[in-house]
Amino acid sequence: MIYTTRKTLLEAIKDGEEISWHEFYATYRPLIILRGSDFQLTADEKEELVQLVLLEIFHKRKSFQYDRNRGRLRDYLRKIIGGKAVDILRKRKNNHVSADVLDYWPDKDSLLEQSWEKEWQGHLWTQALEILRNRLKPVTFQAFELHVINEKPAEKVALFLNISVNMVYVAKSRSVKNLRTIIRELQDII
Amino acid sequence: MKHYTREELDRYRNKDMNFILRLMCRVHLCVCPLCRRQMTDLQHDDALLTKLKDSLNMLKVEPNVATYQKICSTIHDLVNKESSE
Repeated sequence: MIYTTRKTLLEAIKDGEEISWHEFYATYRPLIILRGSDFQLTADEKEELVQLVLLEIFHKRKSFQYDRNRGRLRDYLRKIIGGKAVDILRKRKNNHVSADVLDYWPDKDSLLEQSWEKEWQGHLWTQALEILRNRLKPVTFQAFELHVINEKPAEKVALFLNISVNMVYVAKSRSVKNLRTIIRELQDII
Repeated sequence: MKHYTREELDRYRNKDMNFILRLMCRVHLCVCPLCRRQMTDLQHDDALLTKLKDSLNMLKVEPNVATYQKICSTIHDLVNKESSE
């Protein structure tokens, strides 16, 4: 289930929907891991970051109020991930391991902000693809995925899916049109 | 004048048409501003798809079963603790 129209995933978690934690993990883990790289965390620290962020959201879920006028989900997550990453760096410093990143942390704000913007946009695109998968007929999505994402020749895709070559191009055209709409919707919601 | 569909124009630019059809399409494009505009739109589509593919590559992260299980178990414990309180 993809949360696109009525409520955000965070709101679903707040409501105690069981499936939501798994979906939250699957949806946001890549983004958190990527953000961990901006803070120069090690692979283990990035996994720790994922856990800390999820636990923080678990603890704060009941007080979570999504209000577009008060701040976007993007900013809410950025603050939580950033705060936890700094906690990990502080812990590293206490353990007398190199904490250079923390030392010049204040000057990195604008760079980190730019990275976050890029990462968040990337996250939206990956989510858009998942939503597209649910919106299209399986064969249409498969044709799009094989031909466009996996860059397989239209002829081979057509043969594999037992459709005409023209249908592969129709699938591509339909997918692009839908993707534009989905991206607009996502930017509007979150 | 018969115009080409978006899909046909996409096939044309991907050289996914036979020689005769390509030639006809080429001649048509020389005289049809509407179809030329469609060709420009297809370039915009390319830009959008490049953005999508770059995003997928950027956020490609291998799953980590251990982390997932640890989180599941922690949250499960916390939920149980909350409900018993």
